[in-house]
Amino acid sequence: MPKRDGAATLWDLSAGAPNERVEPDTIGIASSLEPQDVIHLVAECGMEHVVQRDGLAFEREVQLARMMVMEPAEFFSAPLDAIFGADAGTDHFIDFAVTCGPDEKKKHVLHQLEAYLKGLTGARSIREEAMMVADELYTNGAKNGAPIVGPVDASQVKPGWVRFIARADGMRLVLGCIDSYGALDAAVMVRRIQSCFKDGVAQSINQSQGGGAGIGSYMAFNAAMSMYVAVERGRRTIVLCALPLSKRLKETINLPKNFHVLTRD
Amino acid sequence: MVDFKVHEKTDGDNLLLVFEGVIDEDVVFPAVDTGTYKKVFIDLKGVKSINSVGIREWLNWMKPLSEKAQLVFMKAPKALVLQMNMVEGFLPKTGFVKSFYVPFYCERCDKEESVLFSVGQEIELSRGAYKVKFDIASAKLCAEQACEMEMDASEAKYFQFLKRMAG
Repeated sequence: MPKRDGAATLWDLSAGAPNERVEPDTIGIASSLEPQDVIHLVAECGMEHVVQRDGLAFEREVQLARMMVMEPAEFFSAPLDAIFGADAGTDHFIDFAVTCGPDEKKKHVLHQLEAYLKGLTGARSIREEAMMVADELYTNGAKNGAPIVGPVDASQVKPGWVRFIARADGMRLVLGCIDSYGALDAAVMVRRIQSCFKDGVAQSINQSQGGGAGIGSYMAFNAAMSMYVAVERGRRTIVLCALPLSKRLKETINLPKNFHVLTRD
Repeated sequence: MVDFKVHEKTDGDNLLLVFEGVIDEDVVFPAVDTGTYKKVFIDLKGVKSINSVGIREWLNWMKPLSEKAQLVFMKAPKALVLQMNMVEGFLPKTGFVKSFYVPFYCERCDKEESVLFSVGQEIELSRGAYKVKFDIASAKLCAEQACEMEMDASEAKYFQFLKRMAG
């Protein structure tokens, strides 16, 4: 049932999902929802924040959801500070900017990330997943600036930038992209993820040869414990994923997922 | 990151393809004369990663090929095993995985190993089910006496594709 909490509404999902669309400031609190049910709440009920008690950093994720509802500008200005808390340590921190363009930029990003992961405690078991998430999120950001398949000439490159960022705190690795295009339609992205769950991944693939395969966001969500999507239309898109840091994959493989969406005109 | 490369070798009716590198938007899979070969063996040991566009290209290349020839996959790394489990058709219905890598880890020694499991040896398939016959103690993955090496994956999820092969 919904309960007002300042400017936000907390909805305890243990009593069931809402039957209709909720106010966009609603934060759903659940315990062990399956990934497809999390996406259902976002896509069908308009719930912009779903946070799970049994998930990673529950209290911090609820605080983050409140901040995204009440002070969205703070999230847009410093998303990693918002996710980890401004006073969190930055011992393991990379933040490098790369302008969009042909494929070698992505190779540079992935190469940097690979080196970063080698020195990051607890990243051993999620190496492949982190590289895949980085590849998909960077590709999604970069394709707003230039085609990602086939030869690219200068006239096809739109002015703008894509920045890859990553930070870890010993429990979570958060990584992803910020771009200056603000072109992502968050609702379409959520529908694509939902389609992969409902219709299958192969059936959801976009066969248009010039673009992406349309399943990258699903793959990133599937690998992540939390996904953060924020769009300031025409100005900025932020898509980040949190992955669990642990020595053993078995300890984290069944953690439930969180999802956060924030859109502003 | 390593660009994608293919090495080819023929042996009568059989073709061996050895894949190396990253399967992404730059991948160019080889054109295979499906009238010539009955079996195509694909060695995947050198594949480092695959992304969503790579998955699309793989499916588009694999589908017509699997209708004409039997495909046998060998030494599939974790990155491809994950896709076999997640994407229907990634492992074609007529495809057969002869061997694949399984991750192991010991927290005590902080040591990791990727162990090659082969169907008929470490894995037994029968009547829609699979059975793991790997004995970790006798495999001696680590020289340390007190080593606590164990499989670093959820067995039910990681071996899911075997059920389809056994069916």
